[in-house]
Amino acid sequence: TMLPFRLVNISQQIVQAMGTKLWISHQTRGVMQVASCSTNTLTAQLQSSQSEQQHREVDDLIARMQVQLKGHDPAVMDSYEKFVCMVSQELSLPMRVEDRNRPHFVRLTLNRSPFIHKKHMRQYEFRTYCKTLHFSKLTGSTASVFLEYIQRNLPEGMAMQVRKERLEPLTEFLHKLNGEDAVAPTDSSNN
Amino acid sequence: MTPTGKLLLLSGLARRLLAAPSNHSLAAAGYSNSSSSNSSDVWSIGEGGVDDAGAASVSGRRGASSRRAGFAGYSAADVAAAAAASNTAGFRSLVVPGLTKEAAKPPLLRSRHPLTPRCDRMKPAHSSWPSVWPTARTFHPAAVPLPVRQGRPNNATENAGISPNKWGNTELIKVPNFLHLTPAHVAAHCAAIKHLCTPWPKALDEPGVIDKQLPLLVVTTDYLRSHHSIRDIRARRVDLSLCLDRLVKLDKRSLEKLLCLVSFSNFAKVDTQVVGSSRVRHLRMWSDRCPWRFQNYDYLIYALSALYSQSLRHESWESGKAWIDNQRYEFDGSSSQKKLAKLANEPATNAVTHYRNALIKLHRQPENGGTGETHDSLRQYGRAVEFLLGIGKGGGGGGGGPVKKLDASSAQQTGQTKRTTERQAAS
Repeated sequence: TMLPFRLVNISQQIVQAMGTKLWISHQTRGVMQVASCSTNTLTAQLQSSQSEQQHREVDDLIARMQVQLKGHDPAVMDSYEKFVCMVSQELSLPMRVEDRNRPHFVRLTLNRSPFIHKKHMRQYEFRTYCKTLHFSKLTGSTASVFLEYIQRNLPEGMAMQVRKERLEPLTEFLHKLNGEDAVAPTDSSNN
Repeated sequence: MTPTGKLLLLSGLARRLLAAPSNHSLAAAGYSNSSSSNSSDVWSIGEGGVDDAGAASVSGRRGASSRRAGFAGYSAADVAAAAAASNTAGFRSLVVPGLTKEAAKPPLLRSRHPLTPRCDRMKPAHSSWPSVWPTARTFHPAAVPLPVRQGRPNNATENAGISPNKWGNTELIKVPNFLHLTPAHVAAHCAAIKHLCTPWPKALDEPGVIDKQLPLLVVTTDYLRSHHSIRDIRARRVDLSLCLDRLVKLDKRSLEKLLCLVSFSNFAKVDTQVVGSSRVRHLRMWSDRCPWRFQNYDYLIYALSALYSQSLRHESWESGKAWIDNQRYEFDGSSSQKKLAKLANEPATNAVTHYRNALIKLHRQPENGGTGETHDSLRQYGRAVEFLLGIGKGGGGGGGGPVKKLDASSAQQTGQTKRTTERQAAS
């Protein structure tokens, strides 16, 4: 079945989509780390390049990301893995594939006849294949772009789970309890 | 006139008659043609030299004439033209189905292209596949220029024992295809979106930077599946991890209070990793109590702040802490220590030390510096008790029995002692 809309000019769509998505991904945190962190050169390096925005938002830092794919057709999953491999090479994201090569079985043993004949039964099974793609050291923007492109092209009948491990600094309150300044000393050589 | 004569006459007449431009056949068939404005202008048969018997034979014996025209091998167009000619004279033309050859009709405009399928007309030099197949669509055999086959015949007679081809193959339609994600597609797409990616800051690759600047680890999961709803209840869960070394103000008492508070909660735990002689403690918290993810994140930040600030505070009533409230086994104040006073003989200090270390090793779990209940720790405890009471293989005597027999075992006990005393001195 077709999705509600399909990409014809992907650059235009992704750019439009990315323009709104970056905002949403930061707003869902409920925390806008703005001016207080801007003096930190380390975080200044991570600020998004969206110059249209009035104030600058700090990009996420994802230490590790696991994309788990589940499906019933191993051939389709292998083709999708090849596609994701191509994309990761184009966007220069090192990727590691984990494949158990053994599906998870759900088996049912049911009566063959609606009435009596209990000796004669039928067995059914559902096979769920699982594949995990491991990524490390991504920024939030890169992850958003990569995932949006990957997810739009996810074939029918496949499911995906994305687990992100995000790095964050201590909050101001925790810094205060620690007796430290919230703003780390600037290091201009890192520019 | 003899039939033969009539035939010959007809043939001569027919040649003049039927030497007409082909567009008149179209006119006869009913297609209007701008070039032939008036058929009667050209056809002068009515006036012309057909007022003799030949004309009569043409008009009167039109059935026979058409038959003979067929015999004589005249084209169907010519016959139709003759029929049209007789029509203009006011007579209907007899059309015998199966015998009368109708005028060749032009082909109906069913499709813009001829019947050759597109896949056979494609030239790889002139077309690019991404422009032919830009987005995902169900497989179409005429559009895909590949001799794809799918399926397996049951026996050698079905389909001559070979897999069915792509024409009308439902299995090829059912399976998702990746014809919209070829290397050419992917290269074009990625070239268009690559500018939106940002690089990983190199400053973070230096050792110790992440541990100091970005100690909090927040784990979230997104779920994607084809379902009537895009929501997933599991997506609200947020996990938080923090290394306790980063909370620099935690001294021994504060750390113990924090461990106590964490043990009371059902959404936090402290994982201790023994790395050589040091211990690395991580505080791990999780929350799925709120319906939205950002709410769970805010709750965890609040809980972390509350834990830290409360563990730094020492209330006056905390001095009423009993021995049983200790997070880990302490010898001082334990019933084992109290039982030493009941011994008949005053035990030697090194025997007490051995006994104390054996108990600590036995009762404390690995994350707190002990080993828990193992064969070695139980045996060590037994030897320590024998040494304390002056019994066992070492021989009789009061506290501080013979040291010789216990030298081998006390050597490792001494090592243990040194480590445990060092740790206690540090903490």
